[in-house]
Amino acid sequence: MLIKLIKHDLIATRGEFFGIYLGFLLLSIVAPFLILNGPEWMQVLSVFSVFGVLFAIIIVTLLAVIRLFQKRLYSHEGYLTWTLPVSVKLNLLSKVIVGVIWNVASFLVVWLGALISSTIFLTQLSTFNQVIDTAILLFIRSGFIGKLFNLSLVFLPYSLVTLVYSVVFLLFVITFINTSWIKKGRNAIGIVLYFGLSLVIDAITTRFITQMPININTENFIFNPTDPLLSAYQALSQFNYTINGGVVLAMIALQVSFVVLMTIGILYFVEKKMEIE
Amino acid sequence: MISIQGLNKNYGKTQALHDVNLDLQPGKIIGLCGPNGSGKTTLIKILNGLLNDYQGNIRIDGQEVGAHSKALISYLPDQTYLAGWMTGEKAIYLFKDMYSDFDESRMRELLLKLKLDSKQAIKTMSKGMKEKFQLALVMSRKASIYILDEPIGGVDPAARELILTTILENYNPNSILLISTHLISDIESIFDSVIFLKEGEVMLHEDVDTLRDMHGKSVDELFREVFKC
Repeated sequence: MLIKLIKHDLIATRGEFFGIYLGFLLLSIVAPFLILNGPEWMQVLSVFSVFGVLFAIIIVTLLAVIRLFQKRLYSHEGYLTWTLPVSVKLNLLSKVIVGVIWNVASFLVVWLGALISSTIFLTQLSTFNQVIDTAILLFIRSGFIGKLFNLSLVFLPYSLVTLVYSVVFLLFVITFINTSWIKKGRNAIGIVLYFGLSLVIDAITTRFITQMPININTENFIFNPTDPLLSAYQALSQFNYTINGGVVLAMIALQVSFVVLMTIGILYFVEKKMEIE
Repeated sequence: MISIQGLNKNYGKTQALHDVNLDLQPGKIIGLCGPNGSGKTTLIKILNGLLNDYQGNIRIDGQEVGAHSKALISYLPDQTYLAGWMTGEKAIYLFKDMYSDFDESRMRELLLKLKLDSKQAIKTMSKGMKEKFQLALVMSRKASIYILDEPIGGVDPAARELILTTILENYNPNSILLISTHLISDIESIFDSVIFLKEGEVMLHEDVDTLRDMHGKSVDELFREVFKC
């Protein structure tokens, strides 16, 4: 049943994303040509358009997830959602999973767009081979990419937990404002609650997490202005870091704790206090 | 099948339901009657798990309101619950996927009978078309309990007859059919029993034949007497 719920939630929300994803990817293809070959005003417009659509993707993703929760759970569509023959837990879980899926999809689309644009840029440049050689030297031979990849692997679980946390946090706030406790000014209360709770959670986090999860070693780096390429190569090859595993685990544990507490809250709100108008 | 004990529901200081006790058995068409604001929709929403902040005990087929009861109940709300972006076909696909008792062939027959186009988007349907489409979806389930909230409330008299015929021809006779209405005269002929709700309290729960024998009046006449302003 969970798979079916996820499928129908994805079908219901896909329309909000496809247009903007397609627009961004098309712009990723067109913008490099315009920037390299077009008149100055078009170059400026292209750069602004790319950043504009990028910003729009972030906003659309956030709004779509809010709409997924508010519309499908607590508006007139909730009459159908909550009368489907599934448990409350399963219904909520599908919404959280779909929220996470769209966030990941937006992230991947942005990266895909960046990859497309940079590839076009490189192939269009007359000094293409030189650029490629420099990139290989700087990022691959220096070992920088490998180190960066290892670092992102270490932080992948934390990133996933943070993503789930942010989606559950939104669901918590939206569910709260749809309980019998809140009769008026639901949107305003939701916004205040969201930012207020964020501050509280930040305060709790900084109280428990006092050290940085990663220390980047920059002691051996000396910049030589006469040979910036060599300097950059040396900096990237000497790029070194130490991960404070205890801090990373503590950060994950804290995020998981918030997710668990908010999940308990959401279930209580729905099972005991929910009022669909 | 449906057992309600000591049900109370407040909206702030307003009491919507007061000590409601009901026991509903299968094989009957039950009219849930009362004027606007008497608590009919509140009671129905509680039975369907849409209002969960209440006091009292509800059992449906021996279990609390939840996934089991929702699988048994085919519910028609008093408003559109289908998303505007959906076409009729998408709604049918959803019902077919989610409800094991959904009978697609019956749905197709009903679409023909009600002159509805399943390829049309919900948002382009008129209010009456949406109501008929939702009714077709709800009546295409072979459910144990049908709960219809004001199914003839927003339609013209000609369409009322069509809707009532659709309900009667398609419901499962061994089920409970609970219909809320304030338009008693149009619908009383199909009721086996009626519940009168007044200001959140059950004023009367009786078989229609017994009522007629006891009072020598139609349900509509009795309703007007009980709810006289």
